[in-house]
Amino acid sequence: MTDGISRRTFLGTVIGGGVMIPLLTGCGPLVPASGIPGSISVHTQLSGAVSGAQVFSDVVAAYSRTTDRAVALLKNGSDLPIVFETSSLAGKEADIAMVNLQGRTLSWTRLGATIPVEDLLDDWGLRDKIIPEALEEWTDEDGHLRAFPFTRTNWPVSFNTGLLAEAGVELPTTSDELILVADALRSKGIGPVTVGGSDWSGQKLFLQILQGFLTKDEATRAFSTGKLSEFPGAVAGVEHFVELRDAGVFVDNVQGYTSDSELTQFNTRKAAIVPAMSSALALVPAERAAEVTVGGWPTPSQGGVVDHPTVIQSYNGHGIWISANGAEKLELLKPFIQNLYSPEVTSEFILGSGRDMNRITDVVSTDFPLVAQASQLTTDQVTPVMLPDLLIPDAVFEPMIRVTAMAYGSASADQIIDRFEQAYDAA
Amino acid sequence: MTVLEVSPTTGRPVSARPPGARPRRSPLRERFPGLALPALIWYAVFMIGPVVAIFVIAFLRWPGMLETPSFAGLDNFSVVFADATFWAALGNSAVQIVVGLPIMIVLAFLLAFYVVQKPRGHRVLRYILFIPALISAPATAMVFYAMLNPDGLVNGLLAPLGLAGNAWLADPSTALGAIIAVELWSGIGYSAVLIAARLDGVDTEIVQAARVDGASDWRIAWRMYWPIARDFVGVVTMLQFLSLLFNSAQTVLLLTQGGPGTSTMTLSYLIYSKAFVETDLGYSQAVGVVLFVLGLLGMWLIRRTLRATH
Repeated sequence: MTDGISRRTFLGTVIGGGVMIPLLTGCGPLVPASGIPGSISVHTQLSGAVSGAQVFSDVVAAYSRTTDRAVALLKNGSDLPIVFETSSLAGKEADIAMVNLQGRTLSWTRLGATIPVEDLLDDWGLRDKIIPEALEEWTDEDGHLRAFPFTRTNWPVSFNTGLLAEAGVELPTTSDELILVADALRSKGIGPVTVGGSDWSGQKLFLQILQGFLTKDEATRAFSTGKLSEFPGAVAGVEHFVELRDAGVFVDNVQGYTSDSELTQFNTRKAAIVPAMSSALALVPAERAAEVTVGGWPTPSQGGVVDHPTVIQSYNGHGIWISANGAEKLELLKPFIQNLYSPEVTSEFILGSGRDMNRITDVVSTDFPLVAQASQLTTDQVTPVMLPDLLIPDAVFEPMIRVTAMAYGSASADQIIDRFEQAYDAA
Repeated sequence: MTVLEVSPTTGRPVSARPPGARPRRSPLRERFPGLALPALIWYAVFMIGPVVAIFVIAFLRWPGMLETPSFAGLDNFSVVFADATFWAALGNSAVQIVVGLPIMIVLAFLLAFYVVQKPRGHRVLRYILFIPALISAPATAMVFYAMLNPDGLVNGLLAPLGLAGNAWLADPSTALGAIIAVELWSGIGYSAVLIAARLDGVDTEIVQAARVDGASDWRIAWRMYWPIARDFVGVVTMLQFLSLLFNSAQTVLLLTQGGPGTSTMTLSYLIYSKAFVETDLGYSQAVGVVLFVLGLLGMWLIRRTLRATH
């Protein structure tokens, strides 16, 4: 009823709206505890079922108890970069982000969302504690250290020798042997290689197989530009991938699996071979680990450039990034970060969760034998290849996964190369 | 509620003015929206504002939320129309609408017709039909992932029959069909409940008379109920059209991320992917403008096709 509006109703509407709008829009801190004076906030991917999540929570809780300083934890998975960026736009981001170096995080330092930490590295006495190659990998083209490198990863291939024995075959080291092993396993109703064909884990294996035909320099240029057709080795690598796929090396319908399902298949003995990063190997139960040997992806029998089976090795795990908000309270962050690089905390991560760390240490995992095996592989046994995440432009990352998902289906080598290059062109 | 005052002498509304008289503006208190004001403010800020923002951002070069945007003119549209991924997304969205929408509406209408015949347990049936609308998109996606993944229920049922399974969500020939199936599951029951509410208003005496004259259920449904409910079905069709066109991103995100290749890339997922994954906000909103225009055209077409004839 519009003609019966009274002055009181009008004032009530205006005042009510004035009160409600600030309440609805909200203007509080990111997480409640971060509003406490002297507290810090940490936005981390070390959460949920991720290897090391529980250890990290325990370490943070112990730090809070001993220092009497509150640490607010905000947890996200692969969506952490988006959440961090949106909160950063509002000036409400956490003081520290713990996330890997990939895609959109590559631009954070340049854009001022996080601060370079090379000066803090020396001021806080951390330079000598971190593997030098890790510092190199985390340094951008302008010489700025993007973040403190915290965890790292090996990406070996795990072979269930029990299942291989049932099929009457041994651990394959060449592609021809791999094809024979796959045939033998299939004849016994056992799946050969399982991988998350629809997600990033399949993408990593695809790029690893290509590196069997590329020198490091060629791989760097090929993955930076996406011009696979300009590198004969890359073309040979894609053709080799298709040859393996069509020979039945991968489990049926592999293009439909994810990184979670690959591990489930391996742990339940449905598949005998899985390429999985060391943090995932920590999740393999002891009874399964007892019949598993860790090695590399078999070398190409013809035309390859690698001497031994390949393993992706990278110092690119979680980094400790300091945000613009964090830069305002460096004195509070200093003891927290120094604690994370203490020998005790490093040992807790290695022994308690099987994590590979960028902190220099002699400690080797005991309760996670597969992680220990992976960390002890030598260059006489395997040839390390790169994790190309730093080279792939952030706008290409997801489209490339859609292409590799297609590659695990029935696409031809030409189609794969064409769509791969299109993904770069569209970025 | 609007009050219409009537002249006691003429019986005409008092607002009727004599010919030639200047129109007199009603006083502010009559034009003031009163209690509708908060809703109008809300609508202006959160509905009109974003629509304007779509059109502004579509003309900006904005490579990531943290970057500083700059004016790009029509460059984003040039890139969009030269991009094979956009055309693949347009084709997939068209298939979604052309295949999914008619199936959804026809099945929903037939379900609604069945319900209003008041069969045994029809009240319970209405609740059951509405259940998909009460299940969140992530929960729905989990159910369908459990059914359609290579180790899932569907392949598990096919195996004992000697039929080969499939990676339904990852096979280019079945992935889009799987997405459409999820949306049909979500939309048919909900639409049926809405349409049934309209069919309930049909005079049962007319229906009984038709039955006495020997009309079959099929004839009653399409020759009596359909014309009566036609305009309302048009409204439901518009709602589901907009849902399919604009909201498919969540289903695609949760199940296929647009892959394999571009098999399940839809326009709405392309907007999401370009904005939040590939950090190209200008491109994203240029597609948003295209989608906005397609949405208007689609609604106009549905309105023309399903306007009341009864």
